[in-house]
Amino acid sequence: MTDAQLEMLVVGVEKAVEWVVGLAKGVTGIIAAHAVTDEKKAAWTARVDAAAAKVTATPSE
Amino acid sequence: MTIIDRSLRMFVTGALVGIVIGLSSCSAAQRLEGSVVATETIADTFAATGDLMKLAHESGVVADDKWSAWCAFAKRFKLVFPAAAGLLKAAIEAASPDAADGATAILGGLKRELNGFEAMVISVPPDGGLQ
Repeated sequence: MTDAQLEMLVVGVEKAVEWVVGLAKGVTGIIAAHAVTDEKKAAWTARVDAAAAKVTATPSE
Repeated sequence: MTIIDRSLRMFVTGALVGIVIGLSSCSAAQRLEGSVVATETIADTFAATGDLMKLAHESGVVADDKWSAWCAFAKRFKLVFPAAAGLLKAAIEAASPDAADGATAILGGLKRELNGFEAMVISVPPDGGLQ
């Protein structure tokens, strides 16, 4: 194998690693964005509490 | 089979598993978000209708019997809503979209009744029909 071929191989491997890392980050990002996390649970619970407070404050007599 | 082939197969399998997990999580989160939005919408509609009913009654646009009907409905709503909200919060904690759907379904019947009062208030003419 010549030096030029070896260099091309190294560059190819580097690009492949970059592509795999990028794809893995993308998949991880999708999962993180749509997962039911504790932060989302807390935010949803707070919104339900706020809705309940509005109902309580509505005139009924 | 070369090492590259085996690595590629493992990678593709891992990526597919990741995508399936991601999609199922997406579905659960979206459904829970939808239940919260539905509950917020019903609460907002109830609050807005109650404020308008009170204003309309105080200005004589809504008759006493209709105001009494609203008060009876509103008291019932105020009993049921916190129970449904409590169920929804438990469903959120358990990350259970099915339970969340059940909680919002409880409010469905009240929402239909609420729509009647909402339509009544909205249909009142600006001058209260006092011409």
